Amino acid sequence: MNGNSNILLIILAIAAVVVLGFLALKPSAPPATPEQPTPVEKPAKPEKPTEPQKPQEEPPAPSEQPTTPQKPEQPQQPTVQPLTGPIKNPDTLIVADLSDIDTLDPQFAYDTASGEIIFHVYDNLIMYDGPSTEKFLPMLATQVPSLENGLITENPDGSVVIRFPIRQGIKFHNGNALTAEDVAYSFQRLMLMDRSGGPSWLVLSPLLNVNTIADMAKVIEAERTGQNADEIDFQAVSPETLVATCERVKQAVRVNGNDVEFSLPKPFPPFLSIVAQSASWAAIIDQEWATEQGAWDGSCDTWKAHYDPQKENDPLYEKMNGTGPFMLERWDHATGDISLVRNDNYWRGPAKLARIVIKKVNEFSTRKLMLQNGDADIATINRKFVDQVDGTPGVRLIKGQLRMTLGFVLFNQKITKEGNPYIGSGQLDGNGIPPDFFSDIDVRKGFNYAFDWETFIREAIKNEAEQAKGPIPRGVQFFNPENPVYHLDLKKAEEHFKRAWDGQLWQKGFKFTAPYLVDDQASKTLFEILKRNLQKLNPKFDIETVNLEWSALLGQSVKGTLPVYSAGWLEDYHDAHNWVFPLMHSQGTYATATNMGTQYDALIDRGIKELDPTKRQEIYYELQRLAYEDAIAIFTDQPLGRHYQQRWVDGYYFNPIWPGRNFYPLSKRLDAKPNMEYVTQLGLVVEEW
Amino acid sequence: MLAYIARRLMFLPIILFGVTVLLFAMLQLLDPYERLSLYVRDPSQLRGGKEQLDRLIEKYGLADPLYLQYGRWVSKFVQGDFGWSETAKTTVLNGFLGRFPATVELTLFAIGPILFFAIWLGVISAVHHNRWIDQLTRVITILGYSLPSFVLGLVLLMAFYGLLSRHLPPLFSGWFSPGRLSEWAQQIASSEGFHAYTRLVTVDALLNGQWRVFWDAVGHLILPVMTLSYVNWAGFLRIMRSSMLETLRQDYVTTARAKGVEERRVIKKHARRNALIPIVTLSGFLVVGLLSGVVITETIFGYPGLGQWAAQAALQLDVPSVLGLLTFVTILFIVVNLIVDLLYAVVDPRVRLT
Repeated sequence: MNGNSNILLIILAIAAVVVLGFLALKPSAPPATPEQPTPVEKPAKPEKPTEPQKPQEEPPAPSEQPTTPQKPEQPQQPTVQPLTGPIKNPDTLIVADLSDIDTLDPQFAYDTASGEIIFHVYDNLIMYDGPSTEKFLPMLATQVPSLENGLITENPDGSVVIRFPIRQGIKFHNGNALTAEDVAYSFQRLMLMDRSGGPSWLVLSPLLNVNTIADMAKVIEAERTGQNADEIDFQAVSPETLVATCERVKQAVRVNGNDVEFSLPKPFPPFLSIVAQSASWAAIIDQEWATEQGAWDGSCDTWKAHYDPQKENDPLYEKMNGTGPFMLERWDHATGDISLVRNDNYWRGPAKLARIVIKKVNEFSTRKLMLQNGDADIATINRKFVDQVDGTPGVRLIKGQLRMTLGFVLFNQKITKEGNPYIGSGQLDGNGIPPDFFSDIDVRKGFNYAFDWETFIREAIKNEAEQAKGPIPRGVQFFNPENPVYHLDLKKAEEHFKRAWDGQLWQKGFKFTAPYLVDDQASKTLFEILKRNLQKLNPKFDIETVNLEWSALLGQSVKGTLPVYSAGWLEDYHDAHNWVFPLMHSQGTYATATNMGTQYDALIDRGIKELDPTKRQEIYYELQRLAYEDAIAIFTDQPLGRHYQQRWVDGYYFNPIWPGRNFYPLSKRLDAKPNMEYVTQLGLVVEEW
Repeated sequence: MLAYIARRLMFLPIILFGVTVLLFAMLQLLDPYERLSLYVRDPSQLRGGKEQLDRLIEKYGLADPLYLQYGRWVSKFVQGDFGWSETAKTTVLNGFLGRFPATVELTLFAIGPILFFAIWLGVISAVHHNRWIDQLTRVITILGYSLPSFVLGLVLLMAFYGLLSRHLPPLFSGWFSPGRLSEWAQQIASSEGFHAYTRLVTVDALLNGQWRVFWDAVGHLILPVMTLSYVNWAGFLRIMRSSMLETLRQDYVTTARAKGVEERRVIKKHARRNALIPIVTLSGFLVVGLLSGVVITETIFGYPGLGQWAAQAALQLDVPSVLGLLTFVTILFIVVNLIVDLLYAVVDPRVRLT
């Protein structure tokens, strides 16, 4: 090749890069019809998602419907051009996601990414009725138990028996028939496996009144030997105790003919919510198949060998065999992608889509381009990037979905002083704070009045959240829409700060450091808003911020050195108890970490034992009032979610209780329309381009 | 020669021992709760409170003394068990075997363009020293130096995948999209009838006679290879150019010219071969770098290689994965260095291995 052709090549290469660079910066052109690598299926007829047969008995009516405090926005009518041209991958739904699936074992899983897969492969005894967060429908059970239909009975000693008649003729994916024994086995395995950090406590607590199976064994060993249960080493308990522990578990969940009975030592109103929660723990697995894989065989002599397994030793870690609408096809550990295929024999009728592929795509730009090009039908878009996706041709956005999560700032009322880099001098001298700084109610109230919700929600959450009204979010039964809330009021903040610490606080000032998780821009904004307002009040008030890696934040939070921290709670099950307990009970996750004390314990314990909804409402209203009166935290926000999908995806609706999306009712069709009934009912907003 | 190789390889276990002990010792600077972040990945998993965290620490032996933790790892290591990778969600060995072929494939496709363009343009620049072609390659080189791979990768992705791919004829369907294969090709590659002989999808597709899959795999490789090539060859080009300039000033080159040897022959036979020595040295590092994984390129193009995994493992304090990858990189580094030393002898006859 001569010199001239070399030069020509180089010039052409540079010109190509420059032109492509310019093209990349230009706004996207309207979507051209994508090429289709596989033949197009005939669009399916529009139909409503198939639900199980109508329940024979109505579930107990909730005493109070959740009230929507804001007037729902009118859904926008789509004005875009109808879709033309073939649909990419017409019978396969591709999701561009970014979360890691932890395990496929329902009794091991305790995260939403795993829960989303389990939700589609396994079924529960009962389920929530479509997007409703209040009404149950039977699933593998034929009826939803209630006092009225006699499936819930109260015994004179205060114990409760809940009976689930099991549906007949249902097959697991491998062809085995579902039996009542499988149902009992699933719950027994959950309790006896009790993996550390896992979900077993959710069932152990109402059924056996303990948080771990080891605690149960210690209690039994103490009964047998007369030792103090706290001094017993679980690893050293006798074989007889292990058998007795297992028998107690089997007594708590037993088969009676074609029914499965759960015996609760005392009333536990949210039990049905726990059983209906489709996150994982209440999924029904096949005992015969599980035993063949090497899981617990159901014998009381062998359970200890399967107790608290490491993930690599769990035989069901990457195997699935449920009764659900999809079957596991492949979990690729190299890519993180997972694919499911349709169960053509599904008892509620086969799903419309033949395959679901969830791709792990860490990079936002790649997810966005996959959505833009039609290579992803649904994509997860973080809030900070939504402006870059809105307006993408061919995409439909459904926003305003109320999430069952709350954000809050917790005050540590008894900060660990030793080796604490966040409290300065450790004294009220203007250069630090004393360890019990937040034990003064006026300090907590002052902070609440100094916080600007409007700015926070606008700047940090792009107006896609509501101000939280206390420890119970909207959408949960017994949420009080009239509960008082704090608003920015610097005058009142000043009054409280002047009263705090007998007036010394105002004179001397304070200084501390607020750590937040690295990349958590919302928390950073939150603390900056607080700092700005506090300094307006008194220049001697100062908050510094520092971002920490998760490992460091975890270590510091366990040590109790964090003076304040911004956190959130995602419910385990849909009941007010699962909100007040972690935040206000002395044994709750956050209340323990902030040393809140025991003043609310009695009321919370009463609430969970009470069956009468009217009385329960009084209790939870009172707890919400106390949370306000005592300013236990700054309840910042209840977020509203967004869902981005191709316009050709049909049948989408959402329930905030699900661990993720529901692919069962979805299909892909050119005339797909948003489900306006659902959109209107929940006050959502639909935009499409 | 064999004695030389054996002597060099004897250092391997000593170096491995050194780096793994160092890593374990460094980890002891973090307390067990901090190291627990591998198993409790975000605040939402703090549900069980401190009691559950203590159970996890006990379960994984995170509070055990250093020698116990290291001893456990070594005893498994000698049995070929590298442990469980929480980030790869499988054993470290499976995690490695699942990702390494993708990395090898990317390296094989990238190394050729990098070296070819670097040597070719380096020689041209040196021969046309300070003429406009030299200035032009300098500009391109500076761009390559200063252009971070994430910028170049994203621009290429937006241009080729975001804009161009929609206008391509059906023959190029699926080209430039992220990942290793399109969905339909992935289904073929995962089917029972498709034998994964090498786990390099391009090679396996050819061996299975799946031309469409091969074509699709090539289309997926183009952008990551372009990104890697451009970012890397800039440096190589500069080195090749200066090495060539240096060589062209040598007496033996002047002598060759004085003897009337044709200029093309002087450059190709006399100067270029000698100028290649620094490139050979650096190629070793390049191969180690590419085979250890390229984090940003893999992340942008959704390419499931070792780089993404290594970064995630390091960030999440996934000790077994980091140790496994460290072992691999150490072995790779020693072996590649050995090969480079052997290549010196091939390129430069004056070098003798003793």
